[in-house]
Amino acid sequence: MSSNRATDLLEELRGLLAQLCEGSLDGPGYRRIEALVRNGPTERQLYLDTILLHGELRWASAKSPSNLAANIADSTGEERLGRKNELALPLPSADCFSANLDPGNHNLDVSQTTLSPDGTGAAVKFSIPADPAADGADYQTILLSLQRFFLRGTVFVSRAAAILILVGTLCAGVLLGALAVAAVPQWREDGTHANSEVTLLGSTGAGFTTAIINLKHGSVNPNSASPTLPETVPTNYVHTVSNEALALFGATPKRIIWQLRFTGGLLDKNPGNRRVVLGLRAGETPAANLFLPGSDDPAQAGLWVFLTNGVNITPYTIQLATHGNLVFVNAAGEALLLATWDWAKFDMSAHPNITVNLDTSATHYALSFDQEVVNLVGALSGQLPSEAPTSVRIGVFDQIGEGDVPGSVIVDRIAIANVPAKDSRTFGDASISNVGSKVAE
Amino acid sequence: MRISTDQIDQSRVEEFVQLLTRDQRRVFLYILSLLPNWTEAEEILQNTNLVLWRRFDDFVPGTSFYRWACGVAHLEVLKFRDRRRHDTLAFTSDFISEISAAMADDGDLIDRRHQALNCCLERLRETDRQLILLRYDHQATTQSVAKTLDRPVKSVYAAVNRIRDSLLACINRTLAAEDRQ
Repeated sequence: MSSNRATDLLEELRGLLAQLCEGSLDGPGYRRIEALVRNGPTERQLYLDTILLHGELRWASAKSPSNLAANIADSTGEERLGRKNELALPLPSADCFSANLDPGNHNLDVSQTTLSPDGTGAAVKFSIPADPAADGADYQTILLSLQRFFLRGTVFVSRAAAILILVGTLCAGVLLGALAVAAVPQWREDGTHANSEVTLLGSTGAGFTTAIINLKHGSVNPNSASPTLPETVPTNYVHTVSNEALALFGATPKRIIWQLRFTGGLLDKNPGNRRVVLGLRAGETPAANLFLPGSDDPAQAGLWVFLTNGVNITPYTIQLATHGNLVFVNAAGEALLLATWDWAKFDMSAHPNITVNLDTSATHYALSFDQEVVNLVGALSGQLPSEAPTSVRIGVFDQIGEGDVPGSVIVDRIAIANVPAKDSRTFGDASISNVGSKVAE
Repeated sequence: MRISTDQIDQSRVEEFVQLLTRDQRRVFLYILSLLPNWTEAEEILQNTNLVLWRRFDDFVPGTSFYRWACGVAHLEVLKFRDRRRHDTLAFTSDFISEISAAMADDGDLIDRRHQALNCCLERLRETDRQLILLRYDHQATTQSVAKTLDRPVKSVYAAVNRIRDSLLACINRTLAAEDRQ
């Protein structure tokens, strides 16, 4: 083979690998990469080197996306474990996991934590008091249920040893953060950082009913001065925080609870300064992302709660200004506005904390707030336009507005629970059964 | 899914956790090389971890945990691939096996490249480092980065490719220099 020919093949491979990293490679592209990589050791090495680099960058960014270089640097050398507090301080994102298995009797106790040598993994081990009433199926239920709630971690359970091990991998920053909070109790919200702590509530027993892993996450406003930020931050830098959990929904309604705190952002009445999306997304497709719908991003099917100043869902434009919206996106990607409420009449300065409850089953929904809001369009509860999938992902997506707009939304909790009996009785009825909301005349 | 009900020695559990957390990144990279899709690789990593835990009694202390984990991960990738055999956006089983053999033998090289990447990132121009930070930020896409920076998508795409090529070249130079010493 001539050297020109070999060079051409390598260039072609580079182009295809760029598409692969971009996620835009098509089927024929995969076939072509195979053929090129089999062409010789140089091509194969180029493939491996490129994928390794791509993976390293993504792995490191998942640990602490806004401090990639520092994280990679931190993950080497003898000082790794000694620097865990530093590793934990920049916590721009975290995940909240909640599981509602069934109520039970015993708490889970944190008994051991383990950090990976390179700082990208962490394990937290919990002991479950032995319960003679529990059998293998019960433990299996815990394992399967919790595993589903850990999008980026793995849950192990050993029945006989009565040990539950949570190994964080890509969300290691969360676990590291949890460890660091114990070590740095004075670290608290200062306007640019939110506190971070982990609450692990679990139970086992005959019913295995409740296991809530509740993480308060730290958030960083990249538009604010912060020692953890890069020296140069573009003025229109947008920082995102997402929290996801996975739940199963069927005939029995479940309540998804978001407890949020705001600074700036929604408190600022200027349209465009802030938008927050609470997403309830359909399906278990691994490729699905909790993604802020925008003009270029088709919405995922499911229910979406927008605490927002204006959001576009392709190809629909939802209400602008200081309105919140509950949107249902069907399997075909069509968005339907179920309700719109008015934040302008809501004094966020007086109530920076808010709890949002969304009760939903496969067929019905009911949205409620712990503070009074005025509903403008549609109904805050009713029947879904078409049946929702039996599994959904929930989450919060926070986008700090463009420009120097300070503020953050702090997700204190995402949880899934049974709908209280008093609300259950009316669930599915078109009448509003929630607390503190009312329909406009 | 069957869960082992054997009595598990406490030290054995600790050994497993140590080994697993130490090699998570490398095993993830191994999986990604066979199935270069971020979310699919994550899913397989989880499945692999569970199998490793269930079969930890089969692991021989003193041998390479990474290699053992790669063997398990390889099977998980093939199972995943088999379930999606109609999906054209994946490599063939034969190709996966070829890459698997190369990667499982290259555990040390993965670490060396990891170390070299540290140095190379530090050598990047600040603007380039910022761009690669943005591009690899959680859930970022070239489109979202372009929107953030108010730059054309094609420009960002080209710049990211250039930086990746630059990092690759830097890593290879660093390793070559180490080999000469």
